[in-house]
Parts: sequence; structure tokens; C-alpha cells
Amino acid sequence: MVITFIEELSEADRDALASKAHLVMEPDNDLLDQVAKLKKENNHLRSLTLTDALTGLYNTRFFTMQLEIEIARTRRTGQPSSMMMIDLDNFKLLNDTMGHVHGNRFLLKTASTLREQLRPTDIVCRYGGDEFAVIMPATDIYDAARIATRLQQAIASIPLKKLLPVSASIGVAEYSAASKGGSEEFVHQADMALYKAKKNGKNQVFYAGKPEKTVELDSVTQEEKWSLARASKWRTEQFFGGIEPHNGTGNSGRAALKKRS
Amino acid sequence: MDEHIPVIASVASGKGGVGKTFVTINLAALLAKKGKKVLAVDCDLGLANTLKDVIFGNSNVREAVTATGAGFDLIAGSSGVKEMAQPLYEKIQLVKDALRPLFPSYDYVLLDTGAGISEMVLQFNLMAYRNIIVLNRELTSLTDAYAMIKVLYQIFARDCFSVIVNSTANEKEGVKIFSQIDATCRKFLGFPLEYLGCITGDQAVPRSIVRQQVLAISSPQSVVTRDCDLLSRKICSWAPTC
Repeated sequence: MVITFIEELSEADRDALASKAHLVMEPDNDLLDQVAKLKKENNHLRSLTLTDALTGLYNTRFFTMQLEIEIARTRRTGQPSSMMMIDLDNFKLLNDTMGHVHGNRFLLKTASTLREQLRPTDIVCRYGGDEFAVIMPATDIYDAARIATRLQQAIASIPLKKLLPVSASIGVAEYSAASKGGSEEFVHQADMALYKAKKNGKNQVFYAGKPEKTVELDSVTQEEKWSLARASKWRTEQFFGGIEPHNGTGNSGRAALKKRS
Repeated sequence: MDEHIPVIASVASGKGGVGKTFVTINLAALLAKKGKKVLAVDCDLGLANTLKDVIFGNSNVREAVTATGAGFDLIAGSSGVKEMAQPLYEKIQLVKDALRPLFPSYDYVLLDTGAGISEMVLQFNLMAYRNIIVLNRELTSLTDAYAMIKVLYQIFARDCFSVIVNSTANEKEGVKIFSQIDATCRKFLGFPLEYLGCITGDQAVPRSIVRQQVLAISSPQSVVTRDCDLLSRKICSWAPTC
């Protein structure tokens, strides 16, 4: 760029310049202001492409970008990263019974709960309708599971006007230096953990390597139940609807059931 | 001499409403009557209790202890607050850590654990060296009690349980009900249970509950008190470790 002072111009040039006065910048015309405004607008537009409109959390696009960065970091430093997939349980029920306005309100409340409960370094994204994902840089799976449990409890205790079983199931996965595959595999693992959390009865945290040895009430087998019910008749009736097993062996009891029907 | 170790016993039942709290309170009163120093703890955080303040750091655990007229100390529950309904694993640990310093000043600590098989119930049962299982004549209470035993055995390798059969018609029925769960345990889990005894059902029991009295104190001559006394005598012979 060449800078020329007006005094250096010839008379003809000065006249030509005067006719184009509207293009000349005034000294008080604040260029910096304009630039700042444009920058701000640009940032806003950029944020629109990277955040979720409703909750203000990051969106899937940013999530995918950031996940690649975390994986690269883990590969370089050997420090594991974790992530969790959060899915609200029975959210559709809330939408259907209380309306979408309340549904959205609940999503907002969930988003703010997530922000409150997580550490500043964690990256929270809204992954889909009622799905959220969190990237936890430099966090191993045990810490991640602990944090996930905290989140699950916090979400389950968000107050609702109606008594609806809206809660969160969370799947946690870890990417360590030994992990194979890329971001897709990482997401897949978290998804699988989430699936198991759902399958195990929702409102819980599941992570790969969690001991699956959870013995629930219904894990008392039929044989054990027969054995417990053995003795008196009225108690058997109470439990098996009037069909008494012969001498307490499960098979004959079932045989009796067959005979009846 | 080393730090005094009390007998720590949990009172559990898979099912609610079989008389856990009734058993705990009356045993505590009778043990106290025998000159033992007894602490009864209501571990059912589902009903949010005094321990909540301890967890949230609002008070010292010693402030949570109240002396009862029946001669034993109590950390009681008070219903109404919801936030503790499902305490985190860490919170359970906090409660356990908060309780421990109290123990050396007692001979007996009875932990009244909640119903069901939640993490919290399991944790408090693990804290105890002795697990007392209360059940009654209902088959569901039997299966739930068995489920509790099974979980504690399979996950935590516990195999030393004492059974109390509550509200039976007579002693014979108590033995009969016990032998069913005992036989099932032997057959499927491979260990026997200890029969602590039964408590005969009596009109005095619901009356004492309505009046919020400790039956063993209010009607010392009743059959129920006699039964409980037999139980407490057996418990008296327990050593602090199983």
C-alpha cells in the first residue's frame, strides 16, 4: 500500500478525489469499531455453528472435533481420556404428559445441572434430543464413573411438578494409550455402556469393566423359591396361586400346573 | 489394653415391614437392661435422618446421639426430608466414617438397615460383624431374606447369618419357617444359618408401636418380651468378631 498526502497531489487529482469524497474515510470514522463489530458478529455466527440453540451447550460438530483432539492428546501423552454418554430415561413420557415447553425446560435444567456438576475442563455437548455427551480430558475411567454417578444422582433429583420417573442412564468409556480404533470406536464403546445401563433398568451408570455381578431380588431362581415355599399349604397358595408342588420338587409342581390347564 | 471393640450387628430383612426396627429397639432395650452399653442406629437414610446433618457437616456425630428412656443410646431417623433418599457411595462412606469413632464407647452396636437390597443397605450390613436377618411367615419375606443372604454371600463372601422369625403363631412354626430357609441355604449356597429364635405374634406388638413404646419396657411380662429376652441372651454370648 502506498500512502500519499493530499498536499502532494496535483490540482487535477485533488478535484477528482473531491468528486469521490464519499469514499474517503473521515478521521473520526472509527475503523476499529467496525472491525470489532464484524469480529463479534463472526464469533456469534461461529458459535451458532458450534453450540446447541436451546441449551447453549456445544453441539455434535464441536464434540467430534474436540474428541479427535483428545484422542491425539492421549496418543501423544499416554494420559487416558474418558467420555460419557447420557440419555434421559422416560423423557418422552414427560414430553407427552406435560408438553414440550416443560420438556424443554427440563432439558435446560439438565444442561445447567451438568455444567454445575462438571469440572471446568470437561466439555459438555448436547448430542441429540435427550442425549448429552461429555468429554473428560485427562481422566481415567474410575474418576469418570464417579463423576457420572454424581451426575446421575443430580439429574434424578431435579424436581418435577408431576411424579414422573425421569432420570438419566449414563455409559462411560475410556480412551487409553492402548486403545485401538479412533473416535468412532470410542463413541461406540460409550454407546454400548449406555445401552447396558438402560438394559439393567435405567437410572444408573455403566462402564466397561464394571463388575456385572449385581444380584437382584429376581435372581432368586425358581428352584430356590420352590425350596423356600416347601412346607405349608397356605403359603404356597399365597405365592403360586393355589398350585401345590408335590413334596416340594419344582418339576412336579410344574407338572401339576400342566395337568390343570 | 487395646481399643474396646463392641459387637456390631446389623438387623436386616429383604422385605420391609417384617419388624426390623421393632426387633432392634427391643433387643437394644433388653441388652441395656443387662447392663450393656448399647447404641442403636437407624441406617435407613431413605427416611433422611439425623445423620444427614453429620454428612453435610452441620453437626458433630455425637450430637446426633440421643439417650432413650429405655437405657440405650439411639441415632434416630426422622422422616420427611427427601434429598438423602439415594445417598452416593461416598456419602455412605462418610456416614460409616462418622459413626466409627462412637463405637469404642459401647458394648453393642445395632444397625437397623433399610429394606431392600440397595448399595446402602449392603454397605451397612458389611460394616457389621454379625448379620441378623429378620423374617416372618410371609413367603415374600422369606424369598427377600434369602435374596439378601445370597447377595451378601455371592458378592461379599459372607456366610454367617443369624435368623429371627418374627410374629409366629408358636415356637414350632418359627422352627418350621427357619428350617425352610436354612435347608434352601444349605442346598443352594452350601452353608447353614444360625437360628436365633422366634418372636410370638401378640396384640401387644401393634399396640406398643402405636403408642411408640418399647414393648420390652412397657410390658415386661408379655410373651413377646420373654421371646426377645431369649434372643438377647444369645446375643450376649457373642464375641465382637465372628
